[in-house]
Parts: sequence; structure tokens; C-alpha cells
Amino acid sequence: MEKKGLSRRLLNRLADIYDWLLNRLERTILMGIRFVLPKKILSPHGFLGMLTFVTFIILGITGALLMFYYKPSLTSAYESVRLINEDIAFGMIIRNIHYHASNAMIFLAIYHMFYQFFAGRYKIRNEVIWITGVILGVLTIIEAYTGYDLIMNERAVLAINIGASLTSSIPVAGQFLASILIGSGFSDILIHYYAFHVFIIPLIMLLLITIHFPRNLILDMPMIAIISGAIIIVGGITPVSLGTKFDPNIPPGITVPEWYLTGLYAFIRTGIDKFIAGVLLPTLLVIIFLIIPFIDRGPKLSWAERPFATGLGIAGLGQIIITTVWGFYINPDPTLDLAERLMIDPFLFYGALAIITAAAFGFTYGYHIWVLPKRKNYSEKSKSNIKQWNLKIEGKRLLLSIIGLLGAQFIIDIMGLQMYMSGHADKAMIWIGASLIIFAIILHIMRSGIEDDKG
Amino acid sequence: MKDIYFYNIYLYHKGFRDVKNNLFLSVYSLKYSFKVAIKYSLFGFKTGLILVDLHESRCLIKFRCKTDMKISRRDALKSLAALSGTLALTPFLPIGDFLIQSTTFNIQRQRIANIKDIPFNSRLIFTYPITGNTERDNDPFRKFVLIRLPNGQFKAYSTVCLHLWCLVDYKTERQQIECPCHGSIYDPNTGIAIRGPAALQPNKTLPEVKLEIDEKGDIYANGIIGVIGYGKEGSK
Ligand code: FES
Repeated sequence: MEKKGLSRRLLNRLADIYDWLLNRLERTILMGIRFVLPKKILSPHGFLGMLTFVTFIILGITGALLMFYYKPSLTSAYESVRLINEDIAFGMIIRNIHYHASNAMIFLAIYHMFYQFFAGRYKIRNEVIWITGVILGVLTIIEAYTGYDLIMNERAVLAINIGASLTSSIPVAGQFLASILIGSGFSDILIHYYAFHVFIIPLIMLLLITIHFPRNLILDMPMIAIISGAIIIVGGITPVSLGTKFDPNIPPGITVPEWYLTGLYAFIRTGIDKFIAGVLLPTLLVIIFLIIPFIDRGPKLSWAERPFATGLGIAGLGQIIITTVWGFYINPDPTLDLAERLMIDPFLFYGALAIITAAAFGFTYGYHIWVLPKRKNYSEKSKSNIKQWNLKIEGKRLLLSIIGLLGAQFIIDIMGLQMYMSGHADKAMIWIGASLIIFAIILHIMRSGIEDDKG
Repeated sequence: MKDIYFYNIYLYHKGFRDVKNNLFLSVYSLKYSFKVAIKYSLFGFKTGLILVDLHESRCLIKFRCKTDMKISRRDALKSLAALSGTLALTPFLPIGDFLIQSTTFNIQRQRIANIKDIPFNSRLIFTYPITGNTERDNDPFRKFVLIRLPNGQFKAYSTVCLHLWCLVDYKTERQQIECPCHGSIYDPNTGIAIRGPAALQPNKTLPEVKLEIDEKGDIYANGIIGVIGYGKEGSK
């Protein structure tokens, strides 16, 4: 026994340290969470929240790195972003990942919310989780908005102005809040937004996330790697630009906001009062989502059994899509009067929204009344939230495929490096992302191999 | 547990109509089935009692107790501590002022340009009042547009649109002031919004800069009529 090899002894020592650490960790809050590492491919619908959290972490890391060079000042903000984008090594990649992760986070958060909504997951004692989730979604959009305002291009300046004036349009407290935001002028707004973006909002989000986390967390490592890889690949295909630098002596031209705000932009362009369009309507939408657990209180979870909630959800989703797409549309004819080009016909616009709402409720109630009773084999049982797919690779080919993939990954890494060295940081990102996706596949093969051994 | 005997208890739970008889029952069952009784207290006065079954971790019966107006020594001490806490926090009340730094616009007479430099139907963006601090002077809220109308007259307005504070500009092709965000159009002669969302608002006249032209043809700005972002008729 004393003649154990050095490596054996080292391994034992490591195992001891691991045990020691695990023992001590039992004293911490971490042990209140149960991490579930799935052994098969799961539908990501069951853990979209976890994926959203992963993008939050990516944003935290890249954002902290960007803070090394960014300068929140009216005169040098744009230059500092240009420096990051063009001169600093990996700056362009970091900024691109930050930007695309923010889009991914908003998209995943909305997707997550609607999936949970239609599955009726805000019931069964999940009300607190649901409400913190809705608040987190709103904060995510505000966080993204304060972020793209920091670049000080034309789009940022107009967005800052609109945000500040919308704040001032709130009755009673609005002008007081706006004066806090504005301080002694525009340079103060910028630094205030910066404080919100890098510290205040993320801190509140982190606190809410701790409440929002359920006891069981699905940690699907392959899917996390795929999401990270996809963000980087999209960043490589559509790299984010700097935008036109804002020059205070040249008022900007027509500027469309980021995609998560074009819905609001469309409402504002219909000519209704700015407070109603920019503050009241979005608040109303949020309030409806906040109180839905207290309206839809029946025991049924299936969407077909809850026609009112489902109708509301489809109507909400339809309205979000219509307004978001409509916000992008601007009559391209430059000979027309600007007021005419930007105006959205309120009858057409609100008519479309009314029609989609009626159609949504018509569909769900129609389905509930006529179709549902005819489905004989319809079972009351609510399906499990987590679907499993089988995608197994047989024993012998397992090792071979891992080796093949490793080879491919090696080549891809080299291609990425070569792209980066030759000055194509954007193209390099596609390879970097591809490498992450191969890593995801290998992780999956590994876990199915381990499962085979057990079976 | 003793608290139950101290206070006159009224039961508001549906299942317990007969207060007197059930009181004993509840206390009895309290002894044997339920583990915890938590007191509500409001400012040190007992106002209620709640029974919690630890095994099921849910609330079973809610009692409301009549407030005991007799202040015990313990309650008095608690109230004094609460008073001290309030006094300790009072100095922080005006902290809200920390958040606000007000804008100072020193109205000054300032040369903008000479009439010879500005042709008919053209415009010049200028900063007013100039402070010498680049951060301040680049502020879009301090930018104004000096317009020479086709008839030769001079006008100067704030560039902050009255709708949602985007930045307007004088377009020489169409001889009007336009906002790129939602398409508000202003009349350059008066600064009044004639089309677009700003025209639908109660405050729709752009703040105007008072202009003075001396015998050498130098144009001076001397004061602003109205409030930036809120209009000529607007007030903060
Ligand atoms: S901000 Fe000028 S039209 Fe809306």
C-alpha cells in the first residue's frame, strides 16, 4: 500500500481537498439550491430562465472589461468606444459579445416569460417567482436602454433626450424625477445613466434574481455552451457598428431606436399624448402581466383550459410583434413632408391592434368551446414542463467521434486565430463561436457515454 | 401561550362563531397540536395573535385581540428605542437634495455672428450662454439655431423639440424647422409647431432667444424667452 505511485497519491490528496471544500460549502447558502445536471438532451423551454441568467453573467464579465476603457463624458464617450472598437486588442470582440448578449438576454427573457405564461406556471405557489420575473424583465430592458445610450452616437443622444422628457411628462413626480436625472445638463445625464447601467440596476437585478431562482436549477452545460457560441457567431455575422458620432452643431436625421423600443416608438408616432404612449401604455402592459396570477386562479394549467389567460397572452404577443415591426417602418419617400413620413395612421394602427386582440380571444374561446370537447383522448393531466429527447451515440463510435470533433475544434481554433491576426476580428468571432458549439457537442457525447457506462 | 389569557380574544374565523366556547377549545388544541403562536404587534401594542402549525407550515386560525391600552414597562422601553431610532434617521431626511443639481443659466449678452456671414435662407447653430467649459458647451440643451429667413429677418430658437426633446433643425429646402424623431414641424417666423405631435400639445412655441443687432451688423443674443424643452409659454 505504501508503494502507491505519486500520481495516485496526488489524486487522493485532491479528493481530500474536494471533500473538505464540499463539507464547508454545506454551511453556505449554495446548498439551498439543488443543481440538476440533465443526463439527456432536454427541451430548453424548461430552463430558458437559466439561459437568460447565463447571458446576464456574460454581460457582467464583458461589461466589467469595457469599463476599463469607457469614459462617461459628453466629449470623450464616443472616442473611448471607438478606441475599444478599433484600437484595443480584443476590444471589438468584447464589445460585440456585450451588445449581442444584451439582445439575447432581452429575447430570452421575453421568450421565457411567454413560455411560462402559456404553461400556466405562475400558479402552483410560483406567484412570487412570477412577479420578480416580470420586474426583472422590465429592468432588463431599462438596463439595455441605459447601455446603448452610453455610446453617444446620434441614436444614443436622441434616446437619452426622449427618456428624460418622458420622465418629465409623468404627472406630479415627473419633473422632480427628471431634474434628478438631468442635473445641471447633458453631461450629468450621461454619468447618471452610467451609474444606473453599471451599478444600480445590475445590483437590483442580482437581488431579484436570488428571489427569482427556484430551488431546483437545471444546469444544462451543453445548452449553455451553445447559447454562448451562438451569441458570438451572431456577433461575428452582424458586428455592431459605432453609429454616427453625435455632433452638437449638426442636429441628427431620422433615427430609429433599438428593436426592443420600436414598439414604443410606433405608439408615440401615432400622435397620441406622449405620457399615454410612452409611459402609461407600457406600464399597463406590465401591470397586466403582474396581476395575471391573481386573475387566473383556477387549478387548470393547460393553455386550452384557460381561454382568458391564453387569449390575453396571444393578444399581448401579437401586439408586441405588430408594434415592434411597425416601429421600424418609415416611409422611404424623401420628397414627402417629414411629418407625413413619420406619422403612423392611428386608425390603421389601433385597428390592427384591436383586430389581433379580437382574433386572439376568438381563437382561444372558439377552441375551448368547440374543439376541446371533441378531442376524446384529451387528458386532464398537465404535461411535464421538461421534455426529453433521445439522441444517443453508440458505445464504440463514441470515442472516435470525440477525437474527430477535437481535431475539428483544433483546426477551427487555428482558423480563428489566423482571422484575428489578419485583422478580421468579426470573422474570427464566427470561428470562436463554432469552437464553443463543438465543445457543447463533446459535452453531450461525454454525458451520454457516462450514462451508457451506468446502464 | 399565556398571552391568550391576558387578552379579550375575538375570533374572526368563519368556522368559529361561538367565541366563548371555542376559545377553550382553541387553547386546548393549541397545547397539543400546534407548536407556535406568534404575536402581532404594532408600535409595541399587542394587536393580534396568529397560530401556526409547524408541521404544515401554514397559518391555521387568525385571532384579533383587543388592543391592551395599558402600557407595560416593556412596551414603554420599546417605544423609547423606536423614538431614538427615528431621531437618529431624521438628519438624513434632506438627503434628497443630494440628488438634484440645478441648472444655472447665466443670461449674458453674447456675440453670435455678423449679418454679413449669414446669407438669406440659412441657419447657424450656436451655443448660448457660452461657459468656456467644453462639457457644458457641448450640451444639446444649450444649442440654439439662428435662422436668417428668406425675407432677411433674423430669428433664434432653442433646438430642443417640445415633443420629446429631440433636436430640431432649420431645413432650407422646405424653409421650416423639422424634428427628425416624430416629425414635428415648426414655423420659422414664429417658432410655433404647425404639424406633428408637438402641434397637438398645449405648449407648442419654441423658446426664443432675444436678438440685438448693433450698427456694425454684429448679432447679439441677450436672454431667452421661455423654458428649454417646455416652450415659450411653458413653465417648469
Ligand atoms: S421629439 Fe420632436 S417630434 Fe417628437
